[in-house]
Amino acid sequence: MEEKNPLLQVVDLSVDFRLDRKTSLHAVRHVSFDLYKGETLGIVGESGCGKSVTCMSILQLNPARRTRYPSGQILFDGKDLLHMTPKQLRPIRGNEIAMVFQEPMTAMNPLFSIGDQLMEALRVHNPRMEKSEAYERSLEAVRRVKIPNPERILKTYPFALSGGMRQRAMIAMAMITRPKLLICDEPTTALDVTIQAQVLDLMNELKHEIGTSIIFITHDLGVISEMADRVLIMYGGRVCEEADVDELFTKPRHPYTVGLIDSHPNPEYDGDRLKVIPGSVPTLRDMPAGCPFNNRCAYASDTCRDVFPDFEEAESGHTVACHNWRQALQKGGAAR
Amino acid sequence: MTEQFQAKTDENYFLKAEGLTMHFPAASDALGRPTSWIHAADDVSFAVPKGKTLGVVGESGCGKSTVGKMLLDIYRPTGGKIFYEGKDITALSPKERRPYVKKMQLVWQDPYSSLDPRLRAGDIIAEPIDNFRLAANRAERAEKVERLMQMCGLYPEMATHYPHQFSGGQRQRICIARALATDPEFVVCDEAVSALDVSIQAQIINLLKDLQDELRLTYLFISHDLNIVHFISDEIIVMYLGQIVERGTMETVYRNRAHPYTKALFSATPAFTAAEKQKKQRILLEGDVPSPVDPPKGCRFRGRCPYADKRCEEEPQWHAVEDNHFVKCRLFD
Repeated sequence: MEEKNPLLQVVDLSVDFRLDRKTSLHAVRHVSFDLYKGETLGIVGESGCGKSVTCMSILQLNPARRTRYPSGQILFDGKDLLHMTPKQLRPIRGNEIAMVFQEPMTAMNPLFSIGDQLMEALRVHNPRMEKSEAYERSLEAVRRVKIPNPERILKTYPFALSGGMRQRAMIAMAMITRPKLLICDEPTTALDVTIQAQVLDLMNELKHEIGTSIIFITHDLGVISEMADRVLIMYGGRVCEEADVDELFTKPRHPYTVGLIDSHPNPEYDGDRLKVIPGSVPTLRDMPAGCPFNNRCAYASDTCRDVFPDFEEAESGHTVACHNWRQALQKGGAAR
Repeated sequence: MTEQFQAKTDENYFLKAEGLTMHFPAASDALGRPTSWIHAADDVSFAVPKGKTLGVVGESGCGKSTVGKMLLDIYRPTGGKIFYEGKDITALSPKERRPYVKKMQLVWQDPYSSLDPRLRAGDIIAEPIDNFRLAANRAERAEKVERLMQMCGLYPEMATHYPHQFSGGQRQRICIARALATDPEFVVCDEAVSALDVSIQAQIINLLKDLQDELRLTYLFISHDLNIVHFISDEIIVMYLGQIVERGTMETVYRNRAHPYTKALFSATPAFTAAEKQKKQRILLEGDVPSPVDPPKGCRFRGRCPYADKRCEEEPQWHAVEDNHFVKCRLFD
């Protein structure tokens, strides 16, 4: 990872969803991050934390009529994606930036064979490509994701494939244009663990082969620790912590990150009860003012209820947005 | 199943399954006679001691939910027997079975689809009370509901709310309260925490543990998440394609995984603590779980097993790895 210009820069992104004339929901607030070439950035959080909305904004895939972007820029190779017209976005979507979704069954067209869909991805962006060349490249793409019997697979339809195979076909489709950036939204959540292991392994292999940068969204800390170089923890539409993956798991600073790690059952932990974060994830409608985590946080003070904290650098490359992370570290450090 | 294996599990067990088998017709000929069968569960035997938790792990389609449903009489098993405190309850008529229905309850996976959206929370929890006529009058019914809600960490004032007004974790608490309404002794938790967020998952697991201590419940805990099963279970069975491949106490199986499938399953579970990551050597399995329709003879795992050879075409035998730890694999012949 050289410290050159980042491939993707998200600067102060906020996303609102309009419900009616008066009300709108603040799905994402002031999110910023950089992504370098060849890097994998993991985004972790629970449902409703804004992780998917953030990534959908990169390709403007949020429902256009209801979505407003009150602030922010998304710079990809120096171009601002957030303010492009659909026509300007077209050569980028699926070509330079590709996406893999959670549910491959709903992301594919059931009426077209896998081969047709792969070739479409190629020929949409290169209208002059010969059909035979597109076929050859599709065959190679399917072979590269290690689907057995590739000639036959190109002729079959999505329903005839198992979950793992379908997700491989999705990855083949996303990678066929050799994108610079691959966005994966919970790509293995619907899969069994042994199949998940195969798919994760494959993604890492492809990443090294092609040099694609990856944004990997998941709620599974185990998956993120195996895939990501750097991790962003999100809660209530905000980023609360960002760090390198090993640093994050060994020295979490934000009380939410600590709670999230502790509430995972861990084979080495032999206590009788799990440590929990009290309360439940607030919905976007009743998000508290100030720090969104304040009503579940053991270290919350009055400031937390009024002002969202600034990012502080806890260590180099490790930022945390919490007023009281030092106190939390002192008290929590004894308990951990 | 070998005799010695059976003898060990026989005595003093609260709930016991013996050779449970469930076949569903997969295809039929012109006269409606089935021509092929889905082998959802084959020769599944286990026993749970009172007040303990038996974890059932395996991937989708391995028959773990089928086992739970057979125990609760949702499916009538094709073969095999279920013993409740030593009494054979497999072939009872619905009327004779009813007292056991009361003692054996279920918590479903998805708290969004397992609650009737048109009933208030209090009425949902009271449904089993009404069904079994456990309350003499309205006051007693309300009192019971209140006690159940408190026990499960819900505010009794919420009894008049509808399911959509609750969060996922609260809904799962309603499901648990409903399951406990008949004072059961045995509860099947079928992926009871899988649909919940991580921070909520931990709360529900703690609740299940507290309730177990308090009420001396026996759990059959079905899950695909090995870390959770490891945390909550005393004993474990590992299933593959309708059969048990390994069983034993949780600690012995965890420390000394014997079956190649168990090893692969544990190694595929992503780890995030540094210590664990280091000692982890991932075993990648080839291919997918095959179809349970007319599965091949012999070891069902042999198509994906790195150690498979000719001998695996015969039915593997049960072997004792150590005390309270059994594996069905010819590597231990």
